[in-house]
Amino acid sequence: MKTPKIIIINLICVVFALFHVFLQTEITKLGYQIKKNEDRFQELIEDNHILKYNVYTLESPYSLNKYALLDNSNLRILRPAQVFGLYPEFKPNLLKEDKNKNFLSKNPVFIALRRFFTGKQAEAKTIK
Amino acid sequence: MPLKKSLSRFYIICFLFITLLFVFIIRLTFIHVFHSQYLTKLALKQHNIYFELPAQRGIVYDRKLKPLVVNIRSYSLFAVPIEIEDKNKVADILSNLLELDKEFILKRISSKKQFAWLKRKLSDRLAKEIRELKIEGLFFMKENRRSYPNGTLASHVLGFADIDNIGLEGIEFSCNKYLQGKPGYAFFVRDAHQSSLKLENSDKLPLDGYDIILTIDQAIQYITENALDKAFRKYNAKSACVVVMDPWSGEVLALVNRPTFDPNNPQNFSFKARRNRTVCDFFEPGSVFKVITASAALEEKIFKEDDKIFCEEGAYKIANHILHDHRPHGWLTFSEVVQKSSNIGVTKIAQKLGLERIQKYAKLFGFGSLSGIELPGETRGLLKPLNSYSKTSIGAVPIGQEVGVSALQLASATSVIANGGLYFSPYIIRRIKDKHNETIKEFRPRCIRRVVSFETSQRIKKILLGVVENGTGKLAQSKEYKFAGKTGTAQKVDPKGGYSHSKFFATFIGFAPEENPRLVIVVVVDEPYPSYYGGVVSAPVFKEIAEESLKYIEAGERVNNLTKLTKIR
Repeated sequence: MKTPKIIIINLICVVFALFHVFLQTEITKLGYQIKKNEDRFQELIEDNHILKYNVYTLESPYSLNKYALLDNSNLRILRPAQVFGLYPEFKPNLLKEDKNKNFLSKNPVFIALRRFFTGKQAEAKTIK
Repeated sequence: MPLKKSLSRFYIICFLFITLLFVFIIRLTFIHVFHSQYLTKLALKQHNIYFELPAQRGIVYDRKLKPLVVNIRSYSLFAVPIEIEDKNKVADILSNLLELDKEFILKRISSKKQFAWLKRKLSDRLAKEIRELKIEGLFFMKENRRSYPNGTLASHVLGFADIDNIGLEGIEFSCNKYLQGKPGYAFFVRDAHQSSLKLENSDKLPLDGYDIILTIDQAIQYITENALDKAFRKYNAKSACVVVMDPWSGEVLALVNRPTFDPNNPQNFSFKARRNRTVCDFFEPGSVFKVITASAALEEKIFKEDDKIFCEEGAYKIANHILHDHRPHGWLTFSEVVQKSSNIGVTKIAQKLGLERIQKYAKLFGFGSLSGIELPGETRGLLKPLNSYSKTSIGAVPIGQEVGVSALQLASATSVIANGGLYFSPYIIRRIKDKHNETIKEFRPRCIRRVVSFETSQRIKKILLGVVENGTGKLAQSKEYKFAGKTGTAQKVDPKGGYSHSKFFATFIGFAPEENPRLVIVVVVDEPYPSYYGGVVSAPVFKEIAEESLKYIEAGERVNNLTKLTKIR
């Protein structure tokens, strides 16, 4: 029995169509894989940046000096749990003017006494 | 009959199908012809996503390529309010973790919007903690955060950037156009699971910002900050600043201000702490300005070092005013007048010289004009026009009153004496480069003019050496090196009128070592207390910076030489 030509052609078309669909699916799968890898790669680069940043922080002169001091003195930095606060937290405000200083610096008796006891130096002075 | 009946049924069914088909055809035509554009847009919107690829902001390095500013990953937390179920509980948890007010969070997540920022640029650790809670309706967006690994070090030079990475202060602000870069974009296709897939390479890559290499030396900056910190605390000063400069090029090696701030958290510091006083503020320099007067007198050949000047035993009348010295002096040589900082002696020199010539030299030394440094908000200082001076000005301008200068201008002026009479324009950026190390812009030393002759500068150098060895700057003396400099104690202008008797600027300008100067250092301490003399407060700061920095420079050179020798062998 001879298979009609039309069926053969149809079969070939179906096979090609299926192959095309298969290829498209594989491309999509591969696309997802590539995207995942790219994301991972980016993440690793970013992790690397963070690690580098930590190294820079540790290598900063302030940190190095702190560790050098600790090495030379056999002291260790206290952990927060090892610190007991006996007083309410005190935050010195360097910008705030010292009241005592202000009062004294305006006091003419104090100024006179300070001038008397402090050694003099030749410096610019107001014209009177 | 039954055939006829069934045939009529067949026709009815056929008619119904054909009618249905016709309806479909009309509907399809309607969709394809009239609605096609709208529906295509809708489909594209659902499938395609457009991502902006942010440009990496440029990195800032010191002169030895140590990074001072870098970018690191951070996560910004946002909410989709309609997806959050128990809003009260979520607000409670987040307020503890994010250290934000509960009411604020509740208000944000209760809004009817589709998107609400909760907190931006969280650390990795905090983002992980929140992610582990698996709260519905909370999402993260990846962003770059500007980070300063050295904390407060050189904070006034670097400045800081805002939440959107736009520079607001310092180099971050003035070089924003170089650092910023240009964002790119990428297209992705999104599936039903909201996973994105890149099908074709249709990206436009971002153009990263350029990197900047500064003239600042991290080690010298640290030495300077340490030394100034001690004086700032010891003398309870209102503020203080130091400029360290290379006199042969005008390169700024260190620039320090106190009080200071941490650029990682600039919002926690006041405006006063963020102010770059070395560049933005001017003050009456006091006695350090006598160097300018003395240089002018020697250059104009009106005086010689040995010429005797009578200092009127401490009181000298000018117009209707009496000028005083802190200590009465009789006859002093020209050199001694500078070394002992006699106001009367300098005024007598100025009277022979004339205000016009002092003004001319002040301008030549760079006062009253912008230096052009690449930092924002530079002040010109104050140099009044000649016709606005009064009869008493001849007793004020030569000793550093009635003029305003910035610490940077003082450093440039001191460099003139140190380098043999040449004015170099100060600069803080060495090179701007791209990510492939290609130079975009290079900054080189700019010699603007000759101010005084080489001979005059050498003569002034010797006088300034005398200031440190026998004069008012003895506390700047070093056992290992010879330093030259000049002290200044300037009374501050009282807002009520006249000069304050309790508020001073303690200043020291100098260079090190004296014979072949490598560093010019200017120290200015505002309102030190209890001591307020430049020679007491600022001179030791100069000494510490100069000694430590020279040792550091020499050690670096030894290492370089050894490396060269090893290579040759």
